[in-house]
Amino acid sequence: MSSNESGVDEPVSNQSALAKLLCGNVVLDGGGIDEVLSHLSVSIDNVVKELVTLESLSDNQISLFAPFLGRSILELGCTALIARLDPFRVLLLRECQNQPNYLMDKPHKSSIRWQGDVFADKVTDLWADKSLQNPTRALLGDYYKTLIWSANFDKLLDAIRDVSGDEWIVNFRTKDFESFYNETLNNFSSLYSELSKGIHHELVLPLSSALDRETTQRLIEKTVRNIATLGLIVSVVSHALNKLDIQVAIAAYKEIQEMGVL
Amino acid sequence: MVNAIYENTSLILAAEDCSPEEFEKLHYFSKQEQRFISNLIAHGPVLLKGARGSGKSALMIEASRRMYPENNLSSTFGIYISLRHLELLRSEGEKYEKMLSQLIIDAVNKTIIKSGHLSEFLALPNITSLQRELSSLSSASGKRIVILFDDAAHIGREAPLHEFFDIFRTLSSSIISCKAAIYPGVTNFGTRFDVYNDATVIDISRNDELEDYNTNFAEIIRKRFSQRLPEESFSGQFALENVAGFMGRAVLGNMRGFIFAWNNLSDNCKTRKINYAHITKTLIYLARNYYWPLIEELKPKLGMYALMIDPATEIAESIFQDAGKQNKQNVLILREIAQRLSKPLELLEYTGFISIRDVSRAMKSRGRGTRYSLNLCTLLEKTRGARVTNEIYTRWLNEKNERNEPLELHKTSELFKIQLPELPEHGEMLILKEDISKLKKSHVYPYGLTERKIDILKAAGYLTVSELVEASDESLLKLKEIGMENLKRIRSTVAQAIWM
Repeated sequence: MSSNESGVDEPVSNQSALAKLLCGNVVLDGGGIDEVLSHLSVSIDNVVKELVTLESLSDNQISLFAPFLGRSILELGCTALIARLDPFRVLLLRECQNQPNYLMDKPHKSSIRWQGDVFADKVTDLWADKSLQNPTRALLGDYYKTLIWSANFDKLLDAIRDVSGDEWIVNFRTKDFESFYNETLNNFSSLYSELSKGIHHELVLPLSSALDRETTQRLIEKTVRNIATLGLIVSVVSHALNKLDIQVAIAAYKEIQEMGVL
Repeated sequence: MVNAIYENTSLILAAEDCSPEEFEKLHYFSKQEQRFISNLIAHGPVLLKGARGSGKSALMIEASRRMYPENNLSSTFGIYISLRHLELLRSEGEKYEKMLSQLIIDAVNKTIIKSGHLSEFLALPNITSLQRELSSLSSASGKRIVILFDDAAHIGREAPLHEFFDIFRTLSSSIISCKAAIYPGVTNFGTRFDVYNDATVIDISRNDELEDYNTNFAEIIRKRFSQRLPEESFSGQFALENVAGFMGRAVLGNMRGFIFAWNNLSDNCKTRKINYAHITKTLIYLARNYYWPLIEELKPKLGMYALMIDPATEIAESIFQDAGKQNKQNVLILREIAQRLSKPLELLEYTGFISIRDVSRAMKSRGRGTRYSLNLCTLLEKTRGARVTNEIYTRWLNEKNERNEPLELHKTSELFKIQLPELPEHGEMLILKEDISKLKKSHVYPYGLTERKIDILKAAGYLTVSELVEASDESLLKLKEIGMENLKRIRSTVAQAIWM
């Protein structure tokens, strides 16, 4: 779906590879979670359209604009993956946003939060009764690590064992789960902060070269690669919504690498 | 102490020994490598990981060439430092900090001189002062700073590694990015440095499963060898791209191995058309004169891991024997075995015998294994007939995109029986205590010293490799029959003996 001038969603005709991998096969004209994923897919498409034009911008425009696009991909991507793995969480948010008393100028507890929905505090004993009273459902929390990412890691390796010509896949296959997961955690955490510096103008020093072309390029590439890799794993998670055929997911993963960001 | 005449560039195939003019003429960077270079220029700490001769130095040097002052338009101040300094390996604590800081100060000043208009860098040789002065330099130049540490981390030299990664971490800031070249098998980063949090690791090994593999190697040939082997030498199935791609695959994408191979192929074939006999001769030559001697060369440099060389040799013999018999290009080792034998396997990776392709892959029978590609030079020696046939050539070029199923090694294999020795807590670099006769021209040191020169050096009191490495250029040049060219050869051989 896409929004026209009056804000009404229209059917998706050209879903980008990144939107496809993160949102899966979106169900057009659906309600509930289908509507959410269709909307997220369109939003990702819109960001991707801007990302591919970055190269033609001046250095100044890139440092102003690229961090915002990077953060958008990071946040939209995480929300889409949460919606596909834990639809209840996003349905709750959807209903809250549908309420007449939902105000745009107020923060809401129901919103997707980086600390809480993506990251969470470490759980020392996953299966202790006390831990299970209110287990974290954060995308990169300890329960997801065990139940989703670790449990499906070998499944993905088996699915991509004979793929050739794909740089990210070739590199992915040389890592064990712990290395992959630790790197991913660190990348998500550092990308969120680094991209923030470009959005919120936190720097009070004249670090004019802090977000120069090379650095921004690295940040965007790393963002897209990390979120797309989680999307690829989700393609083999049996309970994920809008599941893509693994071959379609692999093709999308490759296409993302060729989309020419910067 | 750093000697002015370090190595003879014509003898060593390493990028760090090229003059700037030669560097540009000789190097070609693929699309993937352009991205690695971009990562070296971008802000953020990076560890560049690759086997010996994989091209880490070339990437670092190219990155520094694209930064200020080599590139006036760059917003980044690039400082390249080679850490090939014996004293660093022997120091710890404050002494190490002082020595490394001084090397950084010297490198910054060298870079400042190139820029032509910044004032001298006056930091004291400690990290606090260095940090402060680097910040001032950043403000004065309006640029962020990238420090490229080449040859930073070696296997078996663990103590200085702790110090190095501590300093790497401490120096990194919002305006200073540290980048370091490390080898596979370097796993000990000290207690303060978290490899996942404190740096991004980039593995630069060239994988033949990637697109443009043949084209990239053909481009390297056009840059380096167009005069030695003209295009007319290549035709039909032996088109330049095919032969270059095949040789690239044979050496598992290792650049130094590839250049060594192509040098030999050029000598073999002169101006005639390339054929299977030439290729066979070169691959067998490499097995005997490059790969196996590398293992021998490595042993005395490994410190505590020197004891792992014998099991590594045993593993290589066993794997290549079985794979050669069964015409296999890859080996899949049960993970439990691969994990137990990880150190000797890392040494085989470092020397280019094998290259990791899958950490965890399902085995046909059961369980999961780690898959390695095998170099064709060593493999060919163990293959029936020991010659490159049309079948081998087309299979390795993989034009039909058919997968060669790996040789699977389970608990029933010879590998399972290989025992590893207990490692000592510390280990010295044995090479430093060796008699300089060890540096005599041989398979291990093809550009080594003549007996006559060794006698002259011994008569002058340079008995061990350590004594020779510490001798100044001046004192060596004073010796009878030691001229500038001899000095270069001495430096080149000593460097090969000590450094990875």
